[in-house]
Amino acid sequence: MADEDADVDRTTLAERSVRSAWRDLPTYDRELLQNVGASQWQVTREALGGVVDDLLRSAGLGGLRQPEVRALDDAAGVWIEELRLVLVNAGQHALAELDDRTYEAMLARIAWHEWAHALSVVRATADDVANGERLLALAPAGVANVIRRGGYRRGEYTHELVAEIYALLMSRPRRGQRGQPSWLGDEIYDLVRRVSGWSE
Amino acid sequence: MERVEPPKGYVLANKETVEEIIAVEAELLRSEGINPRWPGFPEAEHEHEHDEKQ
Repeated sequence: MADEDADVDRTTLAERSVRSAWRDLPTYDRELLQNVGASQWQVTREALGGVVDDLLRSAGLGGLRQPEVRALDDAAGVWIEELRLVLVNAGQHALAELDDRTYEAMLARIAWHEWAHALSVVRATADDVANGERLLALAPAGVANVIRRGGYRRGEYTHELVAEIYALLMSRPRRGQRGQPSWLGDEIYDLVRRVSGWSE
Repeated sequence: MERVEPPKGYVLANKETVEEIIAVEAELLRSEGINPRWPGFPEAEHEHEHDEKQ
């Protein structure tokens, strides 16, 4: 019973965190997301592989193969372009031991990451995608390392980089910081601004 | 039946991955002299209903 109560509390906190993260988006970014149909989200406590598989099958889009389901089961968030839906797993196992404040920050980060991803796949150019490896080499080392170890294909580097940097930028206004951070070079900052509409 | 490209999620393989992500952000913020502690969303904002969610 106590575990169930804790799950409910965490789910509530997750939903509140994603909702607050949405409100924190610059107005223009929210409008862009609405224009590309990416303003819908759903918070679940189930592993995302099965949830995505069910949703795709229900929509008549075919299901995922078992390796694809397993790969998504470790995901804390995902943008499903075909369904115009961001899914967040509030019960993702790697988040379980976080204190509430850190959990809230991570849930917001996951949401910002996925919304930026939704914009990037639509608005990044073929050249941006082709430059992924080079752009990653220009990124802060820690960010690049996280992406490289994430098992992404080279053709996904640009989208992941935009999503990660956008999430980092979005966490700054709450800390009283705006504009281009000193740790971010012009090329990536300009890319994120162009792709995401970021204008803070 | 149409097959779609499987979506790629934001994978957090284990708690060490989460700790690394948090540590990377903290290091970047500290490099600018910013306290990396997350200030939180104000409770009052939490209590408003969300208009945009479908």
